[in-house]
Parts: sequence; structure tokens; C-alpha cells
Amino acid sequence: MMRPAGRHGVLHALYRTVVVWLFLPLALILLMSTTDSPIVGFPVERFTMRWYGDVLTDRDVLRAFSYSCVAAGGSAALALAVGLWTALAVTALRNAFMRTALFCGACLPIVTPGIVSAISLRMFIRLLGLDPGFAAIVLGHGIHAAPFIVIMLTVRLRMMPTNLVDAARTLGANQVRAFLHVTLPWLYPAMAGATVRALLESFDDFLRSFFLGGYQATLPVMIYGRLFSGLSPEINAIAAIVLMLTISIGVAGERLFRRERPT
Amino acid sequence: MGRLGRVVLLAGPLLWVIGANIAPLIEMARISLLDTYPAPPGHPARYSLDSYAAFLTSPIYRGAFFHSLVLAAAITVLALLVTYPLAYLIAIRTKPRRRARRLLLLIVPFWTSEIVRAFAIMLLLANRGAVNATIHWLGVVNAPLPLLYNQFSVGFGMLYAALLAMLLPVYAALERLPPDVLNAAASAGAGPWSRLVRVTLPLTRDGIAAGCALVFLTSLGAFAVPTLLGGAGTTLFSMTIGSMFASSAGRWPLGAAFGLIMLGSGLGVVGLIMRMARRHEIAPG
Repeated sequence: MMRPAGRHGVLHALYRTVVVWLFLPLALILLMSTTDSPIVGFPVERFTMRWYGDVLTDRDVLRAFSYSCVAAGGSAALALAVGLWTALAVTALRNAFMRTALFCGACLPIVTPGIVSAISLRMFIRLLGLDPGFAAIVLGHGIHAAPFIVIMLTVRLRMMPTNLVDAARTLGANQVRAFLHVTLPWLYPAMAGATVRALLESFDDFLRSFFLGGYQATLPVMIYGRLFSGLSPEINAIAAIVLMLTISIGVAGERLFRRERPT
Repeated sequence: MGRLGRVVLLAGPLLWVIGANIAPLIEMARISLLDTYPAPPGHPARYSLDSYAAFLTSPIYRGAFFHSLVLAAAITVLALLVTYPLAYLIAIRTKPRRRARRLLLLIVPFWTSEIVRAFAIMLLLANRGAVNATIHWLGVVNAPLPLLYNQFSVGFGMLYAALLAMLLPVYAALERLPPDVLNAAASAGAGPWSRLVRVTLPLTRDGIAAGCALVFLTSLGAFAVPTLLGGAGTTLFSMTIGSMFASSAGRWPLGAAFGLIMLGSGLGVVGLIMRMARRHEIAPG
């Protein structure tokens, strides 16, 4: 059935076209961030690194960046705790209906359209008596990221040989020890991958941060705000830094996740 | 595990699902039925259907709503047309050890923020952007083509954003397809077209339905991309909803009702997609 690649020339051409289509705009960010012109536009004549220097000494950018990082850390921790707990409960449930119901309920935030998620959370934090700001962003991002963790950990738990925990119990480990020394280590690679995913979901998020944020903007909200005053070299450099950072985190997470996965 | 242990194990996730996932939607539904919110002091809010009536009577709101539905449907179809051949190439026509790399190349661009991607598309399509600069350099036209801040750029950006949500479920379905089935069809004399229509597509309809559902819902709720890349006359329902919360003018009930209308119609369309996928369960032919 496997045929030489030449037979599927059209498919390969389509693949290459889509890859170029996906990467070309991102490559433009990197290219334009080094052009020595106060107006963003082609043609590029001279190169400079000064926009990076400007951005790295811009206090507003640095504050937004650290704000985004701390929010990502907080919401990933929240999502990991909730996601791990939910994945364990989903796997432990024997009743198929209950299992499906809990799993679907836990995945609800994924299928909620973005704007509906953002505004319903905005109304929800008011119900909780929470002002827009850091706590609201952490909660909102945590709610949004938890389903990804539930899915990744549930998949991993289902692949776990059922007799592993039994063996530990037979050898005298109590439930807690069996969990800490058998189940948890089995989950580590998936937890690492899921944590990276949650960090990126939060760091990249615009919608929830926009509706749940207070005076201090996260990095994507700051870029959004500045984009309305036109394209400028500074935004370009910020976008380039965010681009390189998020993609490196993603690549690192991917390697971590794949390397530790037994084949 | 003891009975108490099981109760504790279940209680946390159950509380979270109800308290964090469902409660915001219920609060939204409640606010959509109020006449004012937040209620001014001394005037307790009353329940009313005014917000829903406002939707039904205003051609502007309905227009944005239908615009969003049509656009989300178009993006879904386009994303499937672009993605299915790619997923097929990777899942079936690629050697297993090269699959992960090919797939990864399509996933990497989605690790960055949607704001960064929208900005990248601006650089591509702006009047002094890459496309217009290239056309100008080639000397094809003198005036720059209006590619940005219109329907085209909104569709371009939304299609870009939709690809991953379609790719992963479709790829997963194609990867599960046993190669023997295709071999059997081939040896039974089915040509490539017949294999695609009668075997591959029907057997991967679950993945297709899941991808379509996911893309439809995310496209319907997209806010940043259409706001940044759109212009006059490209107002989507998501932007209408967002604007109800932007000011402190107290239009929350309207925004809440519209949000519920979006969620309801989105899930309704998804239900239709799922039913269509199920109805074709008996392999055609």
C-alpha cells in the first residue's frame, strides 16, 4: 500500500504551501523587528537591534511581562491541581454514565466559544465579589486550562497497566504510598507536558485577560492596546520576543514530553 | 479504595465542574433575564425578556449574528478542505517515524499568542506589507491592494486560527484507520476516488464531526482576530457582545442574553453536525 512519495505530489505540494502560509507571517515579525525605520513597512533597507534594546528597557513592557509570567504560573498550578484530581476521579469511576458526565463537564470550557467564556467569567467574578485583576485572571485562566490537563492525564492514566498499583499494594504499600510511588511517577511526563500547555494557554491568552484584567495589562492585552495606535517598531519587537519565547517553551515542552514517554 | 476515599476523590472535581465550569454560564443566564445589571441603588432589578426582545427586533444585532454564523460555517468548511488532505498525507502516506515531525511543523505556529499571529497577518497584508510590497516590486499594479481591515483579512486570520482545531481530531481519526481496510478496498477493485468517498471519509466521520464542531464553536466566539483585522462592515456578533461589557453603561443583560444566544445556536449547530455524522453510520454504497 505504501507508495513512493512521488505519487502524492499534489498532497506534498499542499503540505508545503500550508507550512509556508503558517510560517511566513511569523517570519515577517522577526524580519521587521530588525528594520531600521520608524515606520513598519517594506522595503527593508537597513538592519538594527535597537528596537529590542528599547523594549528591554521599557518599564511598562517589563511589568506586563512579569505580570503575565506570574499569572501563567499561578493559573497553571491551579489547573494542574484541579486537572490531576479530576483525571484520577474520571479514571476511578466505574459507572460509565457518571464517568462520561464528569469528563464532559470537566471539558465544558473547551467547547464554550471564546467570547462567551470571557463574559460569563466576567459576570461570575462579580458574583464572587472579585474585582477585575490578578486573582480574576488566575481563576479564569485556570478554569480555561484545566480541561487540557484533564484530557492529557486521563489518556496517560488509561495507558497505565492496571496491575501496577495492585503489585505495589501486594508488596505492602498503602494507598497513599502506592499513589505517590507508582501512579504519580507514571504521570510525570504527562504532567510536565500538561503544565507547559497550561502555561502557554495563560501566557498567550488575550480574551479572558482583556475582560478579567484590571489596570495592569498582561503582555497580549498590552500588544492589543498598542496595535490600535498603528504598527510601530516597538510592538514589532515585543511581538518578536513573545513569538520566540512561546515557541521555545512549546518546543521544550514537546521534547520533555516525548523523551520521557516510553515507546 | 474505601467509601470515604471515593467520596472525597469525587467531591473535588464535582464541585469544580459545577462551581467553576457551569456556574458562570448560569450566572450569565440569570443576568440575561434582568432588566438592569448592576442594578442602580434603590431600584432592585426585575426579571424581563427585554434583552431577548431587543435581539429579535433589531436588524443590526440580527445581522451581526447571521454574519457570524455564515462566516463560522464557511471557515469550518474551508478548514476541513485544507486540513483533511494534510492529515491524510501525514497519517496514511507518511512513514510512522516521520509522522511526528511533519505534524509538529503544522502545530508549532499555534504555540504563540493569537495576538501575535494577528499582528503577523497585519505585516503580511498591510498597504506597505509583504504582499503589497512584492506586487509593487513586480510592477503589477501601482496602488496597493486593499487586503487588510476588510472581510478578506478577517477570513484569512480566522482560517489560519482554525487549522489546528481541525487538524488534530481529523488526524487522530485517520491514524486509527486500519491500513488493511484500504488495502482490501483496493484489491476489491476500488479506485482512489471510490476508496476516499466510500471508505476513508465514512470511517473518519467522527474525527470530521469533532473537528467541525470545535472549529465552528471557536470561530463563532473569535473576538481578537476579527477586531484587529476587520474594518467597517465586518462587525461580528462576538464584537457586539464584547461591546456590551466595554463601557460602564450597564448593558450587561443585553451582552449576557446575546452570549446565551451564541452559545445556544453554536451548540445547536454542533448537535446537527453530530447527528449528521451518526446518520451516516451505515456505510453508504
